[in-house]
Amino acid sequence: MSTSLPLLEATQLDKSYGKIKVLRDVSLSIGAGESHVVIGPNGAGKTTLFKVLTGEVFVDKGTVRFQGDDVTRMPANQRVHRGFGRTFQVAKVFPKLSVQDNLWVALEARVRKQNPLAGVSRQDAANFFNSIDLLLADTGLENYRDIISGTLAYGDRKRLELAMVLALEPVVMFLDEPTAGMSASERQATVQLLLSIKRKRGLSMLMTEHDMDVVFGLADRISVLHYGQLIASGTPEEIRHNDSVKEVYLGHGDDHA
Amino acid sequence: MKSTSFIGSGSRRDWLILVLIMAAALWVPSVLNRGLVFIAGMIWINAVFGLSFNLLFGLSGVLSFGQAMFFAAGAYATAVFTQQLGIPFLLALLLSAAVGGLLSGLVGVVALRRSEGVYFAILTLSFAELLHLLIANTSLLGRNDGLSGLTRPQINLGTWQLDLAVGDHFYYFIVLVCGLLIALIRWVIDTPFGRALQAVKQDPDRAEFLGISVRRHRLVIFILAGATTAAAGALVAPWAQIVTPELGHWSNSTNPILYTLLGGSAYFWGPVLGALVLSAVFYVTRTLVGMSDMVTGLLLLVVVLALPGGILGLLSRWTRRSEPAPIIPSDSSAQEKSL
Repeated sequence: MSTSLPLLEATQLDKSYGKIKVLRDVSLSIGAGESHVVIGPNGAGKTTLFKVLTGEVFVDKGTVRFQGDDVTRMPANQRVHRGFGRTFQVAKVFPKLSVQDNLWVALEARVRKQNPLAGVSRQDAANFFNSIDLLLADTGLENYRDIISGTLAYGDRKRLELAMVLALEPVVMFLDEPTAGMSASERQATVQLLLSIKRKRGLSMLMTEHDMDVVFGLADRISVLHYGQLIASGTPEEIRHNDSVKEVYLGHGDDHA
Repeated sequence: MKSTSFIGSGSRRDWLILVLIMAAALWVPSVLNRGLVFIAGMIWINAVFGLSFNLLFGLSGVLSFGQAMFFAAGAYATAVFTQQLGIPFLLALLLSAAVGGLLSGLVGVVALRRSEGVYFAILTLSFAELLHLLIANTSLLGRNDGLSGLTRPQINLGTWQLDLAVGDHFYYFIVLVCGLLIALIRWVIDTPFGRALQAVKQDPDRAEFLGISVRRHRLVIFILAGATTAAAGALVAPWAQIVTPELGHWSNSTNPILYTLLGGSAYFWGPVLGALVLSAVFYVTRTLVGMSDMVTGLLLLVVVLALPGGILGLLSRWTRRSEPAPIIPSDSSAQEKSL
């Protein structure tokens, strides 16, 4: 892929729920291998931005392009097969299935595409056990293989969700508050985990995050969303010294952390 | 896969049970009278009706309140195909299943497009009532009187002939076809498709974002359940030798729900046991005129209030050691969530 072309490019996105304009004229892009963090106070539209970028809901206006293709109206499950991976603010796993079987579902889904009638070859199934070993090792869940995921501690469930998304071998990961609800030490571990995943797999990431240590620990680029509008976008250094950002957000960043 | 948390993995025990109950069913005509043989045949048909419903409810988290429409469609299709169009019986049976599949495809495309949970249940109920009224007002289908005097068929395969009208032949045929349908339903649960449906039931958002098309998966299982339900209905026409609009009445849609809840929706054999027990109850109370509805209602109350896991749920609590492999852990809150 040429470096001049962004991997993902969203242009002039508008989204309203009834009379409430949640996103107004938002444009943003993610380069290959870049980690881009969107920050903003609660209600700024971060989650909605996630939803329209991943295909959970569609925009009223604007376009989303991925690897040069228009994916604005493409359903979520199809975007996944193009290389979109997504985690949720409150981790979503299959609570009645063991850790291993959660990953199994992800691996089968990847092979079967969206076709309900598609099977899985013996060869593929044999490889799944290897993939599961690697994914568990990468996310530090080796000892939880047979645990029913609904009984996992919250932080472990988030790591399982991450492993499930990695099983899809995504090109770009959308992480909605990857450290929400975690203790300080868990948060640090998660930052290390995400950095190592990024290093190892060369993934692009788009994140929302409240915790400023996490934001500045992970971001190559930061965008600031405020009342549905993007008020600044730049390197962490630029954002740190941007006056309008300081005013609306970082000035009382502690309140929001 | 060894030791998994998926529903229905490791199916050897269920194959064994199926073979055993089929073998046991073959004894029925030699020990029971004709009336009871007829009831035994109906239990097999209703077992498939119940299992098809639970393919939706227990496996996939899809609650349909209109399954009677596919049952009636299958029954009427067979009656029309064999008696009015003279289509050979085996072909008519396949075509009737196809009619069920086609009808459920049409209903599913409309109802699954925008609705989930209770809304979907109400929509399926509405479609079923529509079909019920349509049947009851079509003179070709005998209106409210239905079609009666249906003859039991002959099977001609080349030089080989079998007259199903003779003796208990049709009963054996029912056992064979229902056994095959049960095997098909059991097989589906333990495929990648079946596992994806379990994922869809437990968390549709997560499934969608693993690249599973939630809507398509729900549609395909709805079509499959519609086809197997219609196949069960198709056996009723020559067995009872009459089809009436009652087959499509909403109260017939509650039957598979009742079998499933009574037996235990979390267990593969739950709907089968439910169909058996309910038929036994009806048989015992048959002389008490007008009591059967009351008995049904009371039974349902008891099950919902005292036996949330159904009979098999109760048994598995009593006999901890040899737990029937739950097809869903009997946690009612998870089921509610997915509705």
